[in-house]
Amino acid sequence: MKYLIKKICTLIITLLVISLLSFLAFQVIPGDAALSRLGTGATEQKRESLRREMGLDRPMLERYGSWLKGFLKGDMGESYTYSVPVSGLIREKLPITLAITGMAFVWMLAVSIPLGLLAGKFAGRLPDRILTVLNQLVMSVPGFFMGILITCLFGLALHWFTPGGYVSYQEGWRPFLGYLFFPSVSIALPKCAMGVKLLRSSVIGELNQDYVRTAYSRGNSQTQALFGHVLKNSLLPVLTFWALAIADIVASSVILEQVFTIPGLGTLLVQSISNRDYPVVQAVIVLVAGLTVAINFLVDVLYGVIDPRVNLR
Amino acid sequence: MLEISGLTIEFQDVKPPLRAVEDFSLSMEPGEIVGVVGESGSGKTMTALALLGLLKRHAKITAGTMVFKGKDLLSLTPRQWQDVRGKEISMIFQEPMTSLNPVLTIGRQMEESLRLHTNLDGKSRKARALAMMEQVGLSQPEKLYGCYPHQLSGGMRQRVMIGAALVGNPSLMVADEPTTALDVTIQAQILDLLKEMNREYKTAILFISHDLRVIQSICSRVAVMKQGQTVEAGLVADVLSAPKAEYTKKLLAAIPHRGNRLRKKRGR
Amino acid sequence: MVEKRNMIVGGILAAAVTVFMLVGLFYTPYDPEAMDLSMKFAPASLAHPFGCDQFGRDVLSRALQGSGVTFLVAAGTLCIGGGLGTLLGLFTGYFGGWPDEMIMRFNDLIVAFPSILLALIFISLLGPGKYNVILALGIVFIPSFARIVRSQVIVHKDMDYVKSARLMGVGHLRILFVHILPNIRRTLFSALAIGFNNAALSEAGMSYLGIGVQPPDASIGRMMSETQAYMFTAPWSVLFPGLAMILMVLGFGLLSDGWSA
Repeated sequence: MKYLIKKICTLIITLLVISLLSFLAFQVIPGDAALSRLGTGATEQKRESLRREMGLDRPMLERYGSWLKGFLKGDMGESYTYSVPVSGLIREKLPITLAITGMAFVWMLAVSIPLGLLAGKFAGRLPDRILTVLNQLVMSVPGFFMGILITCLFGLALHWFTPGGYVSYQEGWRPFLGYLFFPSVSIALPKCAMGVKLLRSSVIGELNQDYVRTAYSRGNSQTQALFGHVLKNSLLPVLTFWALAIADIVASSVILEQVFTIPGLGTLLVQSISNRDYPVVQAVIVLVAGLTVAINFLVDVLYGVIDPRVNLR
Repeated sequence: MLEISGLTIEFQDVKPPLRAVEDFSLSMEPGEIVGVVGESGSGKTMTALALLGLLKRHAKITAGTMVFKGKDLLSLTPRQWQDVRGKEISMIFQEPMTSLNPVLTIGRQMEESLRLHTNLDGKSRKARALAMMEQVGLSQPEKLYGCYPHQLSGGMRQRVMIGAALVGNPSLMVADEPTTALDVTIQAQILDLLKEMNREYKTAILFISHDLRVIQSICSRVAVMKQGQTVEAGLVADVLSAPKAEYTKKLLAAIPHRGNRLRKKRGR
Repeated sequence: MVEKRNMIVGGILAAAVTVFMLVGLFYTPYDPEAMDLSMKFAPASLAHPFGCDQFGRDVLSRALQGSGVTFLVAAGTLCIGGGLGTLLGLFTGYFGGWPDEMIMRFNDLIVAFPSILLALIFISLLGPGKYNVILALGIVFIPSFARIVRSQVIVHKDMDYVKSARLMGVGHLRILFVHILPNIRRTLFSALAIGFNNAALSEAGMSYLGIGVQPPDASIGRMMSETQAYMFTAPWSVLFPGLAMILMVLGFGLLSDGWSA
């Protein structure tokens, strides 16, 4: 319980700091926000009135307060480029990115747990050697190049999907998720490799522990000892990696959305950065940061559930 | 009940192969407590692990026989070993902290032998486990049932180990230095518990220790090992009062205030 | 044994790739921008070992120039991030106290955040371009170096050799830089090799997105986003630069593994 409260406090403070930092960051933008909106031909008077209209004349902390309040209510300002509420843009794109990253996360777990166990159990033998070499190779492929390779192989050569043939979720969830399959696999692959590597060494370490011998002495088979005793223990160090991997998955999704031309948050972010559409950039960054931190919090809680020793700390 | 003869164990990952145990022989009757004593590296733990078929991959039994209740242990398949371990022969270890799984509840670990070897349902397994916890001197078993090893003291953990080893009612329990990692006062309690359990369940105990004093307080017979070889074997009283081997004499001399202790123990 | 073999392979790969990149800074066989429509999608040949792209430009020259820029960016990033991060880690780890506490808390916060997004914030504020990418990545890389160095310093500052140096009256700065720093070099090298990879990959990723290195500077990332559409007709225009990156990451990765073992 104490652990949980401590973690919740950290979560809230972290979220506040992130929001404050990103607010401040976009306050010191080179070039006045009002100026960039009006263009160079505006008169001084016009600029002044716009500044007041946007509230840029009020003290910093007050502006932060009202911005945060608005943000929490879903009012994230208006896009410079599209002149529509940012919240609308995000609401449209968020499900796409959530779907890709969520799928990538699931692939990562679904692949790295069984393969990591396999490699750990047969350490030094053939399946392990093959996996180790494959791992090293997969980890060396840059994310976007992995995407390009997969597009080429499965899209252009094998015709398992149509590159660029993105289907919106509004047109149907099944084709939508179907199209996201390969992008999410491209995101997940390097993380799988890393996960297998970590779980493998964790399993090897745990298999040498005394409690495994105890398990055998009670009549557990190798498989029973592996799943009933070793698995839970060896997942603990990997759990921390998975929490960190979430941040990486989100980052890769920005790039892989470009490779597979998916109009998600990442694409929105990249376009907004090119167009200097600050309200959108700010909103996306804060949202992604918030999500990442929140997921990290969940993993921490999960850690507490799996490892009984955590509560004492 | 147990007949070991000519047991030889070699480490085969080094060249030339290293003999950890050479020509070891021992027989045990039901309900008997027999000790094996020797310093670390004398091969006593290897012998114990061999009895449960738990030797590491590079340690091989190269000669000898082990017959338990008419069964030739050396010819068992892995599947058959599983039926022996925990059901016929169980084992407790030196480090109760690391020998218990840190992320599983005490209850789960207490019942494991029942789960693996009986058809009891969850409810009756729990009842048996709770009764056993009571027997090994764990007060408030209901509360401890859901606890984790790190919440218990060293002595309590060793009690859990003993309870978990006996819950399947095996005929033989191998105890590998079960008191070494514990405080002196707790040591005595655990030894008493082992004796009590031996009387209660008629479980034979193969007691392995480096400490002649401990052996003396619990065993009827003893084998003294040195560098893989049995230097002396016989009734504890004989071996201690008239040691034949030079090595046994040295071990005896290493015990401080032997006379006092002997008298005290006998007085009990 | 395996570690040593990996390290030798990694060292050779990393050295070869570094030479390739350094050459690219000063020399390319053709003008990377020179278009020759007669050579459009020309496959690999002796004259053009990597073939030509959709404008008939020599892929090898472009890859060389692009890797040169990548090398500059990665090296610059390591100078800023690795340098400042190491300094920060040395001082906070050695002296401890509230500055250490504060900086580590801040570190925890940053590490949980996708680093490329962090770099993108800076880019969106500073604008794209080679030097801004170096600055952005450099700042973003500080925390990870600080964290690694700090944890090592904490281990080493209680070791006997440091204690005896202190007893002999050696000053704090000298202990830090002459005694401790050389002793944590393996960890530092390992972190630098991984950092080099991450910086190069981030640069390539950002340039691929079109918000990293800007023309006229070449970049492998941008090359790939331009030629990606021709992957099927002229695979060499994408595969060779990609392969160069893979070899780089593999080489420095193995090297880092070797140092950290």
